Amino acid sequence: MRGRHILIIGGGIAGVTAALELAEMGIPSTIVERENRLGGRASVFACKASEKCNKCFACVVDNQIQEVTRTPQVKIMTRTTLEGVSGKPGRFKAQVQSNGGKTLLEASALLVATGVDFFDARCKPEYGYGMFQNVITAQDLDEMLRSTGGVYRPSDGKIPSKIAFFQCVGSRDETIGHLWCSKVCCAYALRFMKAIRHQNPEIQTSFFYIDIQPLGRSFQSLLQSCRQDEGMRLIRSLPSKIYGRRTSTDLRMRFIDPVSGEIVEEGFDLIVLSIGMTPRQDADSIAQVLQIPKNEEGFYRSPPENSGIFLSGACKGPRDIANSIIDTKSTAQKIIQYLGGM
Amino acid sequence: MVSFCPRIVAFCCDKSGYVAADMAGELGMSLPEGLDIIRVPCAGRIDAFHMLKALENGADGVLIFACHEENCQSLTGNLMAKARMGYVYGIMESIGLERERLELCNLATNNGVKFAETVRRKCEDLERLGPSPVK
Amino acid sequence: MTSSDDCRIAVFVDHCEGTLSHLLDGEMIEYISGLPGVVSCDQDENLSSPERLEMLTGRLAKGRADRVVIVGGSPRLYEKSFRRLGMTEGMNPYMFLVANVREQVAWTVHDRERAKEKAKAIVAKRVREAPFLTPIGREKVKVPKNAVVIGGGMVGIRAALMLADANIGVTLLTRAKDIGGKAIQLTHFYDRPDDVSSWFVKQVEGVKRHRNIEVKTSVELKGFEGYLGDYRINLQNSLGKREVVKGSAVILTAGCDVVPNTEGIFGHRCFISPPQMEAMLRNAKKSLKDEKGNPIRTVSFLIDLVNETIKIDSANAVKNALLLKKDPDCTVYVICRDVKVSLDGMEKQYREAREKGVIFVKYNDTPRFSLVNGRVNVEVKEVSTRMGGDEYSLSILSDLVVVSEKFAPPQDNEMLSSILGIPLPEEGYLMEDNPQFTQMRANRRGVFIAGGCRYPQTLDEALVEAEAAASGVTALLSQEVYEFDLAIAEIDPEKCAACLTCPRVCPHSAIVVEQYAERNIYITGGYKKDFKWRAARVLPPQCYGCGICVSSCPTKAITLKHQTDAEISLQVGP
Repeated sequence: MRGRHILIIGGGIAGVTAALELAEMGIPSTIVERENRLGGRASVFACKASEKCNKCFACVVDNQIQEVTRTPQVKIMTRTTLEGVSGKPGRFKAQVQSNGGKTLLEASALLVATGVDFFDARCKPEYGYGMFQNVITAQDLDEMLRSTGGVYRPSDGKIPSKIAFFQCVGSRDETIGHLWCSKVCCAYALRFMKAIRHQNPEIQTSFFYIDIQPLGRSFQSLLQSCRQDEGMRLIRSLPSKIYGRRTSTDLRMRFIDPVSGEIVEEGFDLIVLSIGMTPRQDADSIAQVLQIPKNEEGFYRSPPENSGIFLSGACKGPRDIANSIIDTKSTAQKIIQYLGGM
Repeated sequence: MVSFCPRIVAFCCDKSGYVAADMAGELGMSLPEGLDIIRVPCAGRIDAFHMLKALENGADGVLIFACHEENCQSLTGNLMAKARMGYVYGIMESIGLERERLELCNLATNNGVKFAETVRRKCEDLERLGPSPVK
Repeated sequence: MTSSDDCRIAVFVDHCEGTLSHLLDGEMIEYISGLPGVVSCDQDENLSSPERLEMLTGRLAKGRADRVVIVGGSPRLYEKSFRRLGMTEGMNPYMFLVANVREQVAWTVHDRERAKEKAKAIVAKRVREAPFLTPIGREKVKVPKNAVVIGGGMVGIRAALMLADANIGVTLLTRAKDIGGKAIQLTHFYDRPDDVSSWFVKQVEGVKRHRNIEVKTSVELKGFEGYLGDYRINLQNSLGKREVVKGSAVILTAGCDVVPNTEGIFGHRCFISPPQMEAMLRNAKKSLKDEKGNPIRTVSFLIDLVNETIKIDSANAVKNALLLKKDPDCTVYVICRDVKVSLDGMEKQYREAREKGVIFVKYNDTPRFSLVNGRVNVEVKEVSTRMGGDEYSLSILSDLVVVSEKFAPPQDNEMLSSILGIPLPEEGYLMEDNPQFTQMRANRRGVFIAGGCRYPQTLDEALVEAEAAASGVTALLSQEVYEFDLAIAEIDPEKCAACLTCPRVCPHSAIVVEQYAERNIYITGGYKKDFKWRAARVLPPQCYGCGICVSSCPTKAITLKHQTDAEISLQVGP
């Protein structure tokens, strides 16, 4: 009988869910998290409900994080990084570096749940992120919604009247070599629009896209309700450049109007860039330590099943909270299988 | 008129409202001092009788914090609460209590700001309405 | 209820690492100590840490207190650890209350004097409530390591294999004559280069050979009862013979219905369904030929007419378009609303298809069809051809049009919903998409749903769901017994009028009506001695303790053990 202990690398939603799921199965685990708190990317997301829940799963993240801190089988090490791994599958010895120095952890299997980076919108200078105050990323908007409960223009703190959402910023883009779809951004932006319009029907929103990508079961009803809403325009056209001044509340752009079919110029006072997901910048270092293969895009590919190393969550490729949770639960079962049953 | 501090009874669902109330606290948002938070396992636990009892016991307003629709651990708890409120509204009307004294608010665990704002807004409404005539 | 004179309340004041010290000063402690029923008032710095709490319970064991009130942070901080510790110390884990003066007072009421007043009021209220507390026990149900998987498709097969490998005995039920389901007809996957049919066969063989799996084919579901650890499924086989299968937990993996679109013009022989296309591609040597042997030069894939938000069609179309394009003389159109590329590696395939000459046409308005000399003319307004108010239509003359099938909620869902007690929302797929249930959990504890009956999804997604469902079952069955607090609803059979309100409103299908009551206030005599009255009963492992039935019961026969009506009445008081 092997001493069962799983080392989870990454304390985002995938890592936290894995720890909880394993704890329920009676297997202790240690979470190694680089930041000083658990939760990762998903923990700053705000609730995007309108008159009903829009299934963004942000509330689940909060619940899971609180739950895991109260689960005695889970040891949490924040501000800790993985330095090296020795030993053989089933009996790994992992060296981790934390504030208190180096520690050697024994683990029967490793679970990598390092997640993704968000695309740096500054790499698309034509959109002026970082230059124009009122051009923000969807992540900025999320944090704003969570901490203030509303939407405001960063330049003067006033409520915007016209918001534009730009899709596929950093995804499906050959010019920067990102030949993948980030899968979640369409649903994410549409939910935002629903939530914002529900809170303040005065705000007009426009959604600029290439193709609308469905996500999950309730997407049909979400899309339908968005199409029926007069204050929400879905425009199949991506403006190539944003014109404006630093604190300007009039950011102008040109696009093809879906009604007239002509190129029109229009101003918006807040522009939200739906940034895509990219492989982590430090993906290589962990891949090298653990010898995880990568795919063409730079996301991890599953190592052979007998290697004792498992992947879960968005490090395998973009996915949303719901899919990360489901994926992690399935990985937990694979770990059980690997450990030879209960 | 002497300004008064309204007593608000807030029934909070353990799965959403109560967590949001905690979050409002963590964010340091100010809450009216007349707020009385009652933790219930689910909004569906709240009977029409409890809402009326609160009003009878001198609450100026009753708030129910339930999960968003289609996000209830008990599937229909929030809808149950809503349906019972409809019944209570009828009774309140017949005894001459203003409708504003009872309200349902749907929120999620991470809606601390919304919690604080709803309570503050209700408090202002009640200050305008004046003390409950039941007292 | 105990009167306040008899109960002895120990108050513990938690300063939460000093954050509450300004509020909980000497005067406050004095006030608390003076409250009726309080026998002790201790102070501590950080009670939310398990070690400190252990010390607290140690002190409790010495004292004579039978109830605890903690003055400090949110109850959610203390509950879990106190309940775990309390048990070991011979004190009932539910005999405690928390006065949350941190979140509700210290951090939110900024005026110091007023804050103090409010804190006093909250503490006083909790102390007044304490006598109403009742001890709540804990119960165990045996969970033998066996599970039932309903549905013999690829999803059911995967779930069964995962469970079996975790040493859980599985009974796999299917209505069909053999396991394998619809997916076994597929030969190619968009993201796998080689033939997948051999992989399917291997999975099916794996199930048949696994010593932990028993397969029952040609059986119909007739009834379902029980609770976690003891689910009983009534089956009927093709000969009409009945049998009962037992399992601790259940995974339901029915697929969705796929209806070929053959209405109106779509019934013409030039319109085929994607599986027909798959079969043609499988049998074709080099280039496609129609039944007369004439080569097929133009193929159009028509998607998004129905099921606009399901990406299976789009992925299939791109995959098959690429296969068709192996013959460079074949012209391929994909006519769609949106190209769905939100699958791993799909964007690249989409680009590859475009480079190889597959023409993608996007429409907003439904295209029109006509037959021209035995070929189909698709008239479609491409979104980008709209210039300056003028609209241009494209005419695409095709030998073959592949019309996507309609994915419909399975008709069985209605039957499954009524037999298993799982809600069936309007759109016809089982179980609402509720984040609280993290997708694959059903409303009943120990029942999981995966695959097409939840909503149509690609095989990869469905397989992940099957594994996740298996992990849910494994977690529940990992111990010999499932232990839970009896913080649930309880029905007084004497008062129950068997009006069937509670089984109807119970969201977790945890209430049954049975003949078991000895006495009932509605019995007026004239019955035989051993007569049993029908009354509702809560199945303890199934109850989540939400209290919906309690407030729905017209005769007030139900009490919620951890929050009685009397307690709420006291809480709403001044």
